[in-house]
Amino acid sequence: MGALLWDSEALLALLLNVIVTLFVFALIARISLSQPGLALLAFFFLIYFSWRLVSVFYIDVFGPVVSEQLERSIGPGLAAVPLGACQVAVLLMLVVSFHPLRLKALAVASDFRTSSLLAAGRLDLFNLVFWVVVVFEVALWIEMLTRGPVPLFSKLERLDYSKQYGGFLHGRLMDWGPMLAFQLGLFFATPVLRGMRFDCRFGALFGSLMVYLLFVGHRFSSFFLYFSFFIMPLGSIVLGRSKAAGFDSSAFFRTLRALWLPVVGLGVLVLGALIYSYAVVRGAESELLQTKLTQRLLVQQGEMWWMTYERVFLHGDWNTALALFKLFVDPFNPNRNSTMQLLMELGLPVERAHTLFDLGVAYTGGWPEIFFELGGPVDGFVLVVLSAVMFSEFLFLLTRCVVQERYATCFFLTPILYAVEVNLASGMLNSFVQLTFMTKLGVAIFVYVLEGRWRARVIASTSLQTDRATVLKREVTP
Amino acid sequence: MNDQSASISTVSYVGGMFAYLVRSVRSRLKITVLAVLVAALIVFAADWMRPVVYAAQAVMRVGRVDGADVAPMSSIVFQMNSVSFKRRAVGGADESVDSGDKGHKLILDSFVVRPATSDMLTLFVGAASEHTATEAIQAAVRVLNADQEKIRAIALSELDTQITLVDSNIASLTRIRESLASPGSIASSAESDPASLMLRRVWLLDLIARNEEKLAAATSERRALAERIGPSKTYPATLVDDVAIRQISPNPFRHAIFAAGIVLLLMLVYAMVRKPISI
Repeated sequence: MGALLWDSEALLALLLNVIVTLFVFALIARISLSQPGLALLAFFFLIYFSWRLVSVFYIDVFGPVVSEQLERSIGPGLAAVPLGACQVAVLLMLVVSFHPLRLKALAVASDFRTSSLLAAGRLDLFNLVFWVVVVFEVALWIEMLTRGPVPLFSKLERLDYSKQYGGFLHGRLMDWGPMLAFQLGLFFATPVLRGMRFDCRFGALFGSLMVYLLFVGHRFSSFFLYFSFFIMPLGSIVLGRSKAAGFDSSAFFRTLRALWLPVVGLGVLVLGALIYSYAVVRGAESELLQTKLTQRLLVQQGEMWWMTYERVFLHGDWNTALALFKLFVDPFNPNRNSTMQLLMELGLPVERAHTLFDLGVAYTGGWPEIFFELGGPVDGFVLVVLSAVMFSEFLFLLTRCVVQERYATCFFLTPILYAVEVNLASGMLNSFVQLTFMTKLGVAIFVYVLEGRWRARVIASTSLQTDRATVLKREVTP
Repeated sequence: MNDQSASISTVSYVGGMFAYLVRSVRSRLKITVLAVLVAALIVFAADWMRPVVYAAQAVMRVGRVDGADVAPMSSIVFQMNSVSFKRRAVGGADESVDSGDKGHKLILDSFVVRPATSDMLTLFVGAASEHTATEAIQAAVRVLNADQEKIRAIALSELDTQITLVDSNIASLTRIRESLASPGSIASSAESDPASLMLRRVWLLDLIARNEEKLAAATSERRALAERIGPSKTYPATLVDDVAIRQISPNPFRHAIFAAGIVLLLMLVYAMVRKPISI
C-alpha cells in the first residue's frame, strides 16, 4: 500500500513536471511562430529559460543526481513547477507589452524616423560608426597578436588569458562586448527601415569580433550572448513595423534567410570552439567527458534553483533582512554580482564559497532565485512579476527607439539594457544601486528626453511646412 | 514612408539636438544657473558642518594555538561582526577614550570585519578622531584575544600538562642516569666473581644505553612541546601593520559637485519638457 502511495505521488510529481515543462515550451513555440520578432528580441531568454527548465526537470525527475559543484545530491522534487510559473510570467508580460494594439500605435508613431526628418549634410553617421569600430577592432587584433600567446594555439582558458595577458582594449571588450554587438546589430538592421538592404559592413565587423573571441579562447556562452544582442534590433524592427502599412515582413524574412551562410558559419565556429575546448584545451578523457557534459548541460543550469526550491519551498527557510544585507550592504565582493554570492554562501560551506569568490567563480542562475530568497514562496512571485514588467516594458521602449531610429537614445540605453538583461539572467540587483548605473540612467533619461523633444519639434516643423505648401498649392491651383 | 535617403548626417543629427538643447536652456538660463548654484551651496554648507569622520583600516593576523587557528575563520568573522562583540569592543575603547553617544553609534555602525587571506582579516571602522579609530581597532583585537583566551587556555593547559609529565619523566631518567653512573652501582660483588662482574658491567652498560635513549626521546619530545607553545606556533591575534587612517567626511567639494550635477540634469530636462513643441 505504501509503495502504491509512493508510486502515485511520484507519478503525480512526474505528471506535474511534464505538464509545466511542456506548457512553457508550447508557449515559447507559440510566441516564436506568431511573433517571430519577439523571438528574435528575446532570443537569449527563450534559449536560456528552456535550458534551465530542462535542467531542473532532469533534476526533478532523475534525481537524486550528484552535483559536482555543490558536492551533494540534489532532487527529486517539483522545482520545475515554480520555475515554469516564473518563466510563464515573463513570457506573458512580453505578450502583453507587445500586444498588437500597442504595435499598431507604434507603427503609426514610427512613420517619422530620424533619417526622414534630417536634411542632407556632412559626415554620414553609418560611415563614422563603421570606421570607429574598424579602428577599434584592428587595434584589438594588433593588441592580441603583439601581447603574447594566442589562447587558441596556446591552449589557454579565456579567463586565464584575460587575467594574465589581456590588454586594455581586450578588457574594454570583455566589459562592453555585448553592448557593442547590440550597436553593430542596430546599424546592420536599420537601413531596412528606409527600404534598403542590411548594411553588411556591420555584419562583417560582428563576424570579425566572433573570430577574435574564438582566438582568445571563448566558447559557447560568449558567442551565444553576443549573437543574442546582435539580433535584438532585428527583432525590434520586425515588431515595430509589423503593423505598418508599407512594411513587407515576408520580404524582410526573405532577406534574413539569405544570410543563412554566415549564420551557419557562426554555428560551425561555436561547435568547433566547443569541441576544441573540451578535447584539446581541457584535455578531457573520453570517460570523463560524458560526466562533464551531463554536469554542464543538465545539472549546473538548474542546481542553484533547486537549492532555493529546497530552502524556500520545502523548508520555508528564507530571511529577507539577511538577503537585503548581503545583497546591498555587505556582499563579499561588492564589485561583482552579489546575488550569486548570497546564493553560493547559502548553498555551500561559507569558507568554500569564499575561496571560489576569490578565484572569480560564479555558478549559473540567480533569477528567479533571488526574489524567493527575498520574499519567500508567495511574495517572491510578486517580485518576479515586477521584474518581468520592468523587462518587457524596457524592451518595448527599446523597440520604439530602434524603429524611430533614435540612435543617440539607443546608444545610451544600451548599458541599461545590459543591466536589465543581466538581472533577468543572473538576478543581479546590486548593479542598480551603484553610482555608475545611476549616472548611466541619468544620462539615458536626459538623452531620451532631448531626442524625443527635438524629434517632436522637427516633426511639428515638417508638418507645418507641409500644411503651408498644401494651402499654397490649393490657392495657386485654379 | 519608404524613403530612400541613403545617409544620416552626423552633423545635422547631433548639431540639431545640441541646437535644440541650447534653445531650450537659453529661455530658462537664469533659473537653471541659479538652481545649480543654490543646490551646490546648500550641499556644500550642510556637508561642511557635518562632524569629521575618519575611516581606519587595519589587517589582523588571527591567533593560533599549536599551529592551528583558535577558531575557524568564518566563526571569527561572524563573532567580530556581531553587535555584542562591537559593543564590548567600543566599551573597551571607551576606557581610554572619552567619546559621546554619537561617537559610539558611529563606531558600532561602521565596524566591519572581512576575511582577507587564509589567516588574515581586514578591520574597518569609522570614528570621530584618528585616536578613537585606532583605539577602536586595538580594542577589537584585545576583546577578541580575551574571548579566545578560554579556548587558548584549555589547549595550553593540555600542553602544559604534557610538558609537566615529560619534565618529570626527564627528571626521573636523569636521576637514574646519575645513579647508574655512580661508582657504587656494581660495587657490591665486584671482587668475588670476575665473570659476574663482567656480566654486571655489560648489563649496566645496556641499562645506561637504554636510559640514554629514553632520555633523548623525552628531551626531544620536550623540545617539540616547547616549540608547539612557542611564539612561532602559538600567538594571540595581532595587528600586522599600523592602522591606516583617512578622513572621509566632510567632503564638501565632492558632494557639492554631485549635487550640482544632479540639479543641472533635472533643470535641463525641465527646460526641455517645458519648452513648447509648436513653433
